[in-house]
Amino acid sequence: MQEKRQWTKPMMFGVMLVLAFMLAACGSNKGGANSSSEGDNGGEDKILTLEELVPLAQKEGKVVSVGMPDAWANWEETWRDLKEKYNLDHSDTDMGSVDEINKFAAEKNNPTADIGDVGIAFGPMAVEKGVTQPFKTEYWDEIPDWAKDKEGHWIVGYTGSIAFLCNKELVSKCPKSWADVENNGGEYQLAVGDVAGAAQAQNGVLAAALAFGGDEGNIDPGIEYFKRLAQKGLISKADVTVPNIQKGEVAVAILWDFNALGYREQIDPDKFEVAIPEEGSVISGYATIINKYAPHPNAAKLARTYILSDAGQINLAKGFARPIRQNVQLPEEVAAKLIPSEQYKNVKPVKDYKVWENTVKGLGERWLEEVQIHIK
Amino acid sequence: MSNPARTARSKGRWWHIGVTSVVLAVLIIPLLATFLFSISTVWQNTILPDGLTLEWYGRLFSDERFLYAIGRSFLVSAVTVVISLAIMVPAIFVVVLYFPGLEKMLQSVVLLPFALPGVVTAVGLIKIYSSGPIAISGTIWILIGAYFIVIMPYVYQSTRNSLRSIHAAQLMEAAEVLGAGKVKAFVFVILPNIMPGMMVASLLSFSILFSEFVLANMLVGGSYEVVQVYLHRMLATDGHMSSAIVFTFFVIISLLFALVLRIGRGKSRKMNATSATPADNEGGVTA
Amino acid sequence: MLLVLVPFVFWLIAFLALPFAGMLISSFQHADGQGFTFAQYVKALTHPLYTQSLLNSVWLSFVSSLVGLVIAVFASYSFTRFSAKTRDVLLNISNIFNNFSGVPLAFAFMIILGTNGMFTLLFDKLGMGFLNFDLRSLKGLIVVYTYFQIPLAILLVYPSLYAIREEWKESAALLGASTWQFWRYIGVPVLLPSLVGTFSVLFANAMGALATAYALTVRNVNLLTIQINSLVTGDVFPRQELGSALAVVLFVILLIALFINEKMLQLVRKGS
Repeated sequence: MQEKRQWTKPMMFGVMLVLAFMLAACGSNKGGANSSSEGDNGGEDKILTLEELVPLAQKEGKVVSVGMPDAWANWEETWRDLKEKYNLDHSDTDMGSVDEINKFAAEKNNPTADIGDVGIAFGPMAVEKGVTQPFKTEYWDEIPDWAKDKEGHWIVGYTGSIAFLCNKELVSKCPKSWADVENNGGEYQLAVGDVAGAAQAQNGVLAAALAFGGDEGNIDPGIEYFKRLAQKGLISKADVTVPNIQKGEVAVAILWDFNALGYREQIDPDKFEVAIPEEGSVISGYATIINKYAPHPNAAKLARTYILSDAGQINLAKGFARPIRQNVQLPEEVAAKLIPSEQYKNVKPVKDYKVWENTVKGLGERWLEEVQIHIK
Repeated sequence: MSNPARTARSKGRWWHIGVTSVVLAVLIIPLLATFLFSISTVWQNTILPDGLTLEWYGRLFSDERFLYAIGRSFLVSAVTVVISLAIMVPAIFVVVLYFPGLEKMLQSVVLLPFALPGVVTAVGLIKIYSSGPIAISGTIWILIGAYFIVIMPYVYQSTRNSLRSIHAAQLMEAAEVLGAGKVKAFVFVILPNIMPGMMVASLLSFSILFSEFVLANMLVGGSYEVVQVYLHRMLATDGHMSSAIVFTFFVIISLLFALVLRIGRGKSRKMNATSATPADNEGGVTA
Repeated sequence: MLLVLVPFVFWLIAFLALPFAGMLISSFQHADGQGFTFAQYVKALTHPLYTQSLLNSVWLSFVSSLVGLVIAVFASYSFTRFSAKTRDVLLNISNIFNNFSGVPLAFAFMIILGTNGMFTLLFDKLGMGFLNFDLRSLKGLIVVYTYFQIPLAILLVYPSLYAIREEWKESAALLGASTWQFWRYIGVPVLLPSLVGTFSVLFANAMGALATAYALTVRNVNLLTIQINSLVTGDVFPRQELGSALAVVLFVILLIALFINEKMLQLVRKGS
């Protein structure tokens, strides 16, 4: 009896483990024919216009997005328009850029998502992973080259620039420049957010770098700046979220201008000031990607087209994001709410995203090793 | 005539009341703070809020998305807990009593869920179950499957502690001596006695699943929006609304648990009519 | 008899073993997802960033679990000495707080102990400013972690304390034993296995916690789960393989903790 019990135990464990490895190995090799709804003609001659897409999309009935929640850049209104004008149902699951790409890839045999919105730096990654399908839309020529993938695998819909959000009740003199923050004499701390994991925070560092003579390949000036701030005890450890701002945990934050303006509008327009740092900042974009395995490809294409149409661009502007198409006429009230264009004179875009990608890869560690250790 | 035991008991009584009050107070304060924030207009850098309002609750309850989300959370959590107890309790019982050699392995296995980051598990599960004979990815079943594993350590620990405290082996022997078969003995003797432990296990598991976010978001996300996903959206957008959600959620949970405990107590009292347990001291304070 | 175990084992394989196997395989691959190498483990165990995170996490988990458990034992025991109705109410109340974790908990603590927190400001006003501490530090996290360990610990040890019968105490008292002696020779030894097992769960619970710490300090306090998270998700270029290696290391640490617990249990048993 003793003998039997002694080796049933390891045997069972062994069997389990072997089974597990076998199945795991099988699972990862299963290329499998995917139930293809790949009917795309993105790269071909005829690009479907909005009107042509509508009946095709309506047959599909809904569009499923990832990373495009209602509260970000006023996506809410675009989804509402799609429902009211074309009777397209919608649901979204919020997640970070990389999670979106991973979801497209992992689900390829049983896809659920059609379209996602990712930081422009992740567009090429999505293409590399082979999870996108190209679609240029009828507005192709009006999009600047830097804002689109050559074949239309990703297209920027709106841009944002790094700005300061300042709580006037907690700060006597709201900063207008990076220097202002550095010389505030300890009255307040600057909240940057998660440099290792959030595109917004990473771009904050880049913005400082650009302001002090660096660029996407040379982020040293940015790191240096934040190191000085940390040594002076001027960096906050809190995350740049709305609740933190509401509870007074964060007095001055680095945010995308559309977020800064949006939060201000939501919490109390009179209490906050938004400014683009004078010495310089970075302008970047978020791009839509259409799932190669999208279950509702035409609905996704319609969504992208709508986003780039006048109506969609105005929706984004209402969400304080700057539309990518410069020639869209914004209604006065909407234009009035954006930051005056003079503040953007020293704002620069990234010229080579491959270079920025490399920088970002090491940015988290550099931040930890050169800045965070000084944070008090 | 002084009874040393009784004096000790009444001195002990104050101690127990004191300890209980302090612990409860400490636990409640953060919740009260959340409640206060949920009824405040603005509360930034002052000791108490600037003003009070029920506006946030009004908005919350008129949002049917919230109510549906609560319903979904309930469904998924309840189903998982029931399935989990049905499968795990007998299994743990069998291992503890008849295969004690396996228990070490079981103890290690139940620790695995802690080491698996939600994101890693989610991606792995989606890959495995998005094709083949069991293509359940994107449905509620893959979530239930994963949740079973999430609560496993807690179900194991509660059940294990219960079985130990009722001396399960002796009880089984006694029952079998009296002529009951193994299954009958398990159902009619063991189960009623570990009822408190099972109540604990189910409530605890329910709580954990209700609060789980990462797996819910990645496995089903917007297509089956549960409370945590809804809350997460709110947390990024508004502290007042999210505080209101958190507090409401607490109220609902406490009502539910009170109900479950009442039912559980009723049932176990019926079954305990003839068994010897330290349960149900009907008299006053026994300190 | 073994049949009873089948559904359980099946579930384990389907939803635990497979993802874990996938992760294990990944941890031995190069950064491009191919091959076989120990490089990830070398990095995980030697790079100061990760070793620091290991130490911080272990320390945080150990302290919060220990303190939480001690508080819970006292609390649970006191609970059991009330009438059945009161017991249920107390248990119910304490169980509610198991729902309090992650971002809501972090935010609640921020409301009371943050930079502009209720108590922070109050203590300053009353001249008791020395009581204030930085919530966004390892010390602060210990406080918050202990808080969420308490209800969990109470729930797990409660059934065992339930079993300490009043009659035992009275018999011991009649034989001349003091309360202290009762606990030392009867109470604690009876409870010990459950306490040890509960400590393992608490320790694992703390080691695996992420949302609360992230919400409070983002990445300013270096913890293992935060490192793993930053390698596999977010707006980063993922390093799945290194993340997997770190996760496996986490699991091994939990196993070691379990092992140490068992050894200590044996020693105590031999001693008495």
